[in-house]
Amino acid sequence: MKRSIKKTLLTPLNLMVIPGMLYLLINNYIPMAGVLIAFKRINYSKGIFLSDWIGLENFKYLFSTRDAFIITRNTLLYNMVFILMSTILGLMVGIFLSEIISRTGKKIYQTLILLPQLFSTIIIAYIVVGFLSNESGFINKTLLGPDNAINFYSAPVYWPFILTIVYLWKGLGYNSIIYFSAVVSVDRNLYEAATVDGVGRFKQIFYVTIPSIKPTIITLFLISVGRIFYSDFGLFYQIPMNSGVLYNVTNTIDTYVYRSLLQLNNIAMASAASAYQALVGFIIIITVNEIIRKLDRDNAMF
Amino acid sequence: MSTQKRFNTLKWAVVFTVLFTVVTVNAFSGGQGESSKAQDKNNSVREITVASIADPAVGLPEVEAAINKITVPRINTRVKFLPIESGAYSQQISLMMASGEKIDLVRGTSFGTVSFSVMHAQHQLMDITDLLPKYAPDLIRTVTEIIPDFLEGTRVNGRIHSVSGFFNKVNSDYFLGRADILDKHNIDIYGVKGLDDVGNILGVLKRNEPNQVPIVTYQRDASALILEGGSFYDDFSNPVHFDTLGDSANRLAVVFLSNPENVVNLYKTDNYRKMLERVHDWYKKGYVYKDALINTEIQEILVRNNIGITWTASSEIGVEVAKEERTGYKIRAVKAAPGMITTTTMTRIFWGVPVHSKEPEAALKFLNLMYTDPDINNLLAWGIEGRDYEVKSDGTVGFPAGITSSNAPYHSMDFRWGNQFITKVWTGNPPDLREQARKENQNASSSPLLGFSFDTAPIQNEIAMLSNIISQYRPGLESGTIDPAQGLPAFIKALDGGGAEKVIAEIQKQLNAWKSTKK
Repeated sequence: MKRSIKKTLLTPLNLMVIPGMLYLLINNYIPMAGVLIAFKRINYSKGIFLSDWIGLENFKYLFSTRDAFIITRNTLLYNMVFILMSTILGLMVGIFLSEIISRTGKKIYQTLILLPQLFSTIIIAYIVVGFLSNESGFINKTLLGPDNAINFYSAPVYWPFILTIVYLWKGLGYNSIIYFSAVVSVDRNLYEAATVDGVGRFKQIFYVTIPSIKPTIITLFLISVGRIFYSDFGLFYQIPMNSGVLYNVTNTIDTYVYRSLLQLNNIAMASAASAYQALVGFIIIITVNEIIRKLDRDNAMF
Repeated sequence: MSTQKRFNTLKWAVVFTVLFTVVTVNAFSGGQGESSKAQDKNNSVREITVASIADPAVGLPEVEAAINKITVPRINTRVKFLPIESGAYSQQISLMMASGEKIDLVRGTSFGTVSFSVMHAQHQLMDITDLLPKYAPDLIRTVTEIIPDFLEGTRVNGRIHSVSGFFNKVNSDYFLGRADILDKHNIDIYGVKGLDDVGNILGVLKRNEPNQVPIVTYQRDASALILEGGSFYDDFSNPVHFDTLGDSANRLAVVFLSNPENVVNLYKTDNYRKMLERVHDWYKKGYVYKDALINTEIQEILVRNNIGITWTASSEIGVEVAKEERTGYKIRAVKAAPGMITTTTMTRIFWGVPVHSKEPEAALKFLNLMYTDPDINNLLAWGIEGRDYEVKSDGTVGFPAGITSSNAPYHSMDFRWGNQFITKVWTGNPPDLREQARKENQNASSSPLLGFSFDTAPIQNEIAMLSNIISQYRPGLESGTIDPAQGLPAFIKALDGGGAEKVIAEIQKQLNAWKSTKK
């Protein structure tokens, strides 16, 4: 018995896992020791291990502010909308892509929708400025004219929409490609059988495609739900150009922490914030997985 | 079989945990063994690493070699320079400090994680109170000759952990504009007596130059009228000075020089409200850049690109020449408020020895040379004579033929290093610039609170919250975009909710304690 385990461990395929495991170990597991920084008052002359323990003192600033509600609400609501929209739209686009017959057409569409993903957020921020700025923006100068001009960067009402549109425009391509690759791996025989049974194109999507790729959808969904307490810093900081007037709708946990600690440079307080995010993300992912397991045992991740 | 499997899993878990612990412990306690080696070469040449803001230059190795030609025979020390770009500086240095990398002399600046208050609060710098007179006596003599209170600016609780950079400490506030446009409309900027006159000039520019913004601001200050220097100057002949106590970023708790006993909340003062009303009025009249809220370019860039005509700035003497270089246009400037020497100006650039340095003695000996030796300063600022610069007929220095700032192998700035007063003057400036600066600094008044900077440790949570509130409300108000009639009360309410009063009270307490030790 023992020998067979040894054998399976040393097969070439298993050996190929080693670099990936090492990467995870170095980048994801070792830094976990840093979590103890969150409970200390860092003193450089004593070093990290010898600095004084101060309990939960570093976590206080996250909760003692009136902004605690706003940043939690913004982070959660935006992420819920993002997860929902990008799952539905990504799935839609992925299926559409798989229905395109022309090979060149497929390549062109794939490239076009993937392109924004490759742009740096800073560049996207300036593309948005090109549309929204007061002095030279396309919307204010060309569409609305000087009499109806809107000062977008001091009008919070528009930003939930602007941020959602920008997020989807940037991220949709990536999601849809993953769904697309799941869709093309569905057994073609199923479709043929469905066609023989007289099932239309549209119904095939609901009765063949979606059930077949359900595990992919659930895995992607779980991964994004686990990060529901993290926000895309670039999106919420750069796209609104850090305009203070908009904070009520653009401030999330990450931007709040950044702005709080800009002056203090307290690495302990920063670690406290990320420990808190990781803990909540962990709880959420376990809960959601539990719910999925209750509903449909086979599709739960663990 | 299942127990066997579980045992194997367990075995792996143990192996991973051990590995993990070993690696982490090593990572965090790195470099413990090196100290014994350093002991052996007690008599050989010491090596120190000097970290500073500088653009990477291909000609650095030659400059370094030339400096070592001076330092090795004189102080038995070889210096290695570690230039880091300003954008990455703050982050790089704090990472290097956290991991204990070799730095023996580090330059701090006014912002972010390498600012004076942060580095002190986290005990990143060595106490050099006793080492300084021993290893850098010439430094002390040189700096106190021009500014007697020089070392007080960086003294905290009686101890010195860093030395302020020795350059022109007097930054006055100026109102500046493009000479060609001002002349076209017969505007005499030198006759401006106060901000009412400035408003009138902006009105003329608004009517006659419809394609350009009369006055531009920068998002980080996001203010046309109030500057780092710390004064309201509605009337140029009678500015109202205040001391930001070393915290120029939030500038919440300040002390007005007319009432030096009391710490007050700047945002609650009448002066501040009046200033906001004035900028909002300007904004409504269309004088102010409408994109001020999102503009991340400094004013000089906006003027260079024909977007704006005038702006305000805090600057040392020679402002017209300096700004002409940066904007490409001839500039006229009128002084709005004279500068003062405060803790904030003294901590804008400073040099310190990191706590983990193993060569504090050599580092301070080099610091001593950097503040007193003209050759070292010229090398650091302008590079190698003949290659990077040449001496002009009037005694100033400039690029040799064919060399510009973009292709010079090495070109830095004179205020970035040790002693600006003994560095040669760059061409375009009056040859007697150093004399003028020396006089200005000797005659400048010091704030009575010079040397006081507060300890943020008891109020960290409040500062974290207030930083957010300030960056939320201040840019909108100070750029004139938001009407102060509603915006200011909301701002003040938010500040009080964030613990502003507690911060003021704590700083007042610290100030009282500091004053009692002074007497």
